[in-house]
Amino acid sequence: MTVERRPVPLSMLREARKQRAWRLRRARQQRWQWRMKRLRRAIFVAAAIVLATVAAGIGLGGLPDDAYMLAMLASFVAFCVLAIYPSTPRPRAEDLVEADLGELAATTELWLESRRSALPPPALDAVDMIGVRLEQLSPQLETLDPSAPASREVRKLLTEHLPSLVDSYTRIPTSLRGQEHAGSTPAAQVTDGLHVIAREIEAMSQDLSRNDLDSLAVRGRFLESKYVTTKSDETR
Amino acid sequence: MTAESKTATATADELRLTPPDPVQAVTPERAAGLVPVGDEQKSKLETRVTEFVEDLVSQDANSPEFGKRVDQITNLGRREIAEAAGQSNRFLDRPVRAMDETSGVGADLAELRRTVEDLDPSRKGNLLAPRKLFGVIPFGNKLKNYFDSYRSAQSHISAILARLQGGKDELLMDNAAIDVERQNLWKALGKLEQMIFMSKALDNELEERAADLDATDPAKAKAIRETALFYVRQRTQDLLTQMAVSVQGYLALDLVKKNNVELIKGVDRASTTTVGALRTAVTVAQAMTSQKLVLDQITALNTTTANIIDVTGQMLRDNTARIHEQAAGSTIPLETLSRAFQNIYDTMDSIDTFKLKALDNMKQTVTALESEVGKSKAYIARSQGQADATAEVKATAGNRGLLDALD
Repeated sequence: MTVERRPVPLSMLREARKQRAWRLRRARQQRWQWRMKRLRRAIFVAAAIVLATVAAGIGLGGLPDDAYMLAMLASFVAFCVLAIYPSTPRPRAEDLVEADLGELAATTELWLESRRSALPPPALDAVDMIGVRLEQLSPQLETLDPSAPASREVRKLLTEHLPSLVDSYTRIPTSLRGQEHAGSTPAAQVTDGLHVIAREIEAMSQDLSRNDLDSLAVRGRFLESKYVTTKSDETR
Repeated sequence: MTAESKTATATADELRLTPPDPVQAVTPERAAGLVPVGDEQKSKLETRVTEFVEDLVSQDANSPEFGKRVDQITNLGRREIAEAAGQSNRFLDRPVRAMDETSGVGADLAELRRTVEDLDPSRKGNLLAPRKLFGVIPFGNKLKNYFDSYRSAQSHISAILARLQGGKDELLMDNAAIDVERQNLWKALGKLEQMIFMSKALDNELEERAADLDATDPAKAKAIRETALFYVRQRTQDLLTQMAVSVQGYLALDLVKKNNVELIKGVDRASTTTVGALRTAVTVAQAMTSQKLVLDQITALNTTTANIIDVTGQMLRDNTARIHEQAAGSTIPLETLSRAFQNIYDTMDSIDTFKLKALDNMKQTVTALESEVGKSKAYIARSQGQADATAEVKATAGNRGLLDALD
């Protein structure tokens, strides 16, 4: 029973890793964009203070030296504060609940990525698979009616079951994570749970596309029966 | 000569629309075995069952591990059942589109009939009698007026015929959807059949093992009989019930399809006979009033119809050639025209009788299916409840997948 075998084929996993690297690169780019924006804002504010002081000095025909010193200090402090705060946004589990259905998959992915380091190494395969499948699910969710039962299911899985599984694992102290409890170790339990979620996301994606798959097949069959098989109908 | 060819046309082209027989209720006992399970699959499934039973028997009967295995049995085929149930219920959502009188093909046919009746020469009294104002003063020509009414009716008729073609497309579309649905259902049935095979194999194997254990470990034998075997039998019954419903749905879909095919035939024939009658009218008008009755829209329709209705196109061409000959040569051309109208009525009548019978058969089928679906709903609810309760267990179950169907 305890035969350890990879629940996911290696080729699929390699593809998943590739996609993950691309997503990480994109996330890093976004983070740097944010930082540069923050830096620009800080420089702008500092320069504005300096300019205002100079303008005031010219306008009033000279200011006391203390005032120049104070202005320099103020611009320096403003620069430092604005260059650090507001900090880069990090996705939190609470954000997931508020996210739109269209953004849900992407937000979940970011959140899961931020939790990656807290998860045991065997679970990373599952995390990669979830990432790939979320990527696949994302465009489907954009067109889904938010009040449909299917979207409620997706939301429940992504905003409740997934975060509570990961969070209840990360709350366990590191030293206890490898010890056996309730039949197996917490590390094994979280790994299995994540695999189940990965499979479920794929099943949901399949369910969501079933109607489209069917209607395409019906169209094809209709065209065939209307324009192609008339001859054979004749003989029947 | 006319009488002879009249009977000849009537018998040669007689339209027979046969409603398919209603689908009878399929008992669960007879449901299994419809979709064959391959020998290779059988041996694979048997290996899985043996592996599972081996694993089950090696556990302590009171341990949570044993309970976990038993939970797997209660979930046996849950996904397959849910899938098949979703699909056979969809049959009940499918309206019998063409059967109602208020919309679609049924309404168009009724309207066509009303319009055509207005043109029927046999309902116009004696068209050859001279028309007289106040019954005394000769005034105009009845026959000429009669043929003039075709001109005003032609656009209406061609609109109805175009709608009928649209209705026919809808019926074809329905049939295409049914084809796809039946394909999906067939796949679901295959999976169900596998699960049934598996649950029966489990039943046998567990029974055997329990008998073996009776001597050595009676407590475990009892546990196997009371939990594992009990659930296996319950699941077998559930699977068989769902199988019966699905098989019935599968057959019922075929019934709808056959009905549609018959109705398409009827629509084709109604269009053909109508166009035929109008063409006859053109010929008769020329023969009797030596005037050319120009029915542009009908002529245009005639070519397109003959193209669309490939099956009846040839017949239409043959028929009109013959009618043309009769109408031009016959001494009583009006009678030929009346007969052309009679052809339309015959077609419509046979569609009506077909619809009555088909509706009846449909109703029987739906009633039978509905009661089966009602029965199956109860256990779907039950297995859903179990599934929710064991969802947590499932997430951590060690060797899940052992009791899954093959792809």
